[in-house]
Amino acid sequence: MAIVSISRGSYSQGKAVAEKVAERLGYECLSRDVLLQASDQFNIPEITLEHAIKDAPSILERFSHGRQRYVAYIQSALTRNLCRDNVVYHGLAGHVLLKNVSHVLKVRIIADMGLRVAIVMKREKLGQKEARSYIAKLDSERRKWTRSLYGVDPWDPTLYDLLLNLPRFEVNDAVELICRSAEMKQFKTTPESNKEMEDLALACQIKAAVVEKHPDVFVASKYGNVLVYCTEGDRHARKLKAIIGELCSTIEGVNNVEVHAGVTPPANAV
Amino acid sequence: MTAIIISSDDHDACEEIAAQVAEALGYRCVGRSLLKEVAARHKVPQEKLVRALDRSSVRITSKSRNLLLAYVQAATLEQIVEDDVVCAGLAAHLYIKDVSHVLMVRVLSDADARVSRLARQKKITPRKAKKIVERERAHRARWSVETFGVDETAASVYDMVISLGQIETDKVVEVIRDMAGYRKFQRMTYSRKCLQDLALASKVRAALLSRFPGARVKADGETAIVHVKCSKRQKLKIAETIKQTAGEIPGVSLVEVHAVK
Repeated sequence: MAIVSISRGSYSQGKAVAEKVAERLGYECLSRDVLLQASDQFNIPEITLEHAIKDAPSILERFSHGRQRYVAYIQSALTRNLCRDNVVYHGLAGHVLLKNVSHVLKVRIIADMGLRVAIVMKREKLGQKEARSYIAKLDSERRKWTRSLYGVDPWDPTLYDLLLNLPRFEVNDAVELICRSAEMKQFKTTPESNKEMEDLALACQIKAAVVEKHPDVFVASKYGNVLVYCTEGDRHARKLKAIIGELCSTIEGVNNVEVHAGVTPPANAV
Repeated sequence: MTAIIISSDDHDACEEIAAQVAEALGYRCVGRSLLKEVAARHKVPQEKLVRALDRSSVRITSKSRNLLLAYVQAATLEQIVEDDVVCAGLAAHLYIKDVSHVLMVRVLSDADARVSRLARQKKITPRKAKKIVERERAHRARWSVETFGVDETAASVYDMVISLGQIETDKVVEVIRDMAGYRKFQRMTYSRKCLQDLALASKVRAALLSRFPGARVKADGETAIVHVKCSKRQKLKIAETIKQTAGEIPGVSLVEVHAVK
C-alpha cells in the first residue's frame, strides 16, 4: 500500500499513465479533485486556484503573498486526501511537498519535444512552430513556479525515485514499471511513515488556517507536536501562539503547540 | 537482443549494477577493463585514458583528451555493436544516440549515504562532504558538455532514471533486466545499422584525429563521410591523405571528404 506521486511534463501522456496505474493498482486517482475540494473548503474560485498552481508568480505576487495562500489551501486538501493511502496523485508539486514521506513513490514522466509538439498540434489545433513555443512557455512557467515556491528545479532527476522517458516505453510498459515499484517493500506504509503523513497533513491544515493573516509563517509537526516559525518579534509570536492555540483546540491530533520567532524553520516545514 | 548502457553519479555502484544485470541476462559486461586493451592498441598509458574519462584535468590538453576519448569511443562501440552487452564506465551514454535498441539507464546514488561515506573516508564533516559531492556533480556535467556536447545530468539523455535512495540495488537490477525484454528495446535491422554506422564512424575518426583534430565523421554503410576544416589550396592534398588513412580501416570501401571553412 503506497502513495504514487506522478509529476509530468505538459503533454507527456503522464495523465494517461497515472490513470492506468491507479486502475491497475486499484488506487484512487487524484488530481483536479484536490482543487475542487480546496475551492469548496476555502471558498476560493477553482479558476483562481488553478492559475495559482499553473502560472509562474509575477513580481507583484511575490510581495503580495496571494499565491502562497492558495498553494497552502491546495496543500491542505492534498495531504488530507493522501492520509487515506492507496492514492495516485498526478498534479503539481506533490513530489516536492511529499519528499520526506517514505511510502510515497515519486515518479516523473517526461517525453521528447517531438511527441509533445505532435500532441499539442492535434489537441490545440496549432501549427508546429506555435506548438513548440506554447510548450516552451508552459515548461518555463512550471519551472519558475516550482523554483519560486520550493527552491528546486522540477527537472532535477534527483527529486524522484523513478523517471521515465516516454515514448521510449509503451504506456503499458511504463504502467507496469510504476506498479512494480509501488509494490516494493520500501514503499509500503508503515506506522512510522503513516505518522509522517499525518504530521504533514496537520502542518498543512494549520498553515492553511493562518496563512491569510500570517503569510510568513512556517509550520512543522512531529507526533502531533506542532512547531510554528515566524519571522516577527516575540510580541507577535505570543499573539500568534494564542490564535494557533485556539485553532488547535478544534483540530484532532494536536498534542502541543510551540511558536518560535526569528528561528530558521527546518527544511520539512511547510 | 539489446544493448544496455548504465551510467551513474557513483562509479562503484554503476559497475556493480552493470555486472549484476549482465549476469542476470547472460550478457557480456564491458567496463573499464576495456581500457587496458585500448591502451595497448594505441600505445598510450592506461592512466591517461582513465583521466580523460573522469575529469577535465589540467594535465591533459583538450586536444589530447579528445583523441584519447576517440580511442575509447571506437573500442566501446566495437563491443556494443555485437549486442547482448551491458556497458558501464565508458561514457557510452554520451556518444550513442538515436539507436532504438540501446537501453540507456541512469542510476542515481543515495545522496545521503554517499555523503556519509565520504565524510567517514576523508574524516571531514558531512557539510563539507556534501559540498564535495555537489562540486563533483557540477564538474561532471561541465565535463560531459565540454567533451560530447551533452549534459549527462539531464534526464532527457536517458530512457529511465532510477534512484538508489529508496530502491535497493537488487530491485534496480530486476527492473533493468525486465526492461531489456520490452518490445521497444529489441534490435531491428535499422537500429542495428545505426549502431554499425556509429561504430565505423568512430573508428575512422580515431584514425584521423591525431592529424586532423577538428574532423567530423559520419558513416553510412561502408561509406565514410568526413568534414574537415581547410583552405581551398590544401583541400586536394588533405582529401588524399584522409582517403588513404580512412580507406585502410576494415569496413570502409568509400571515403567522401568535404572541406568546410
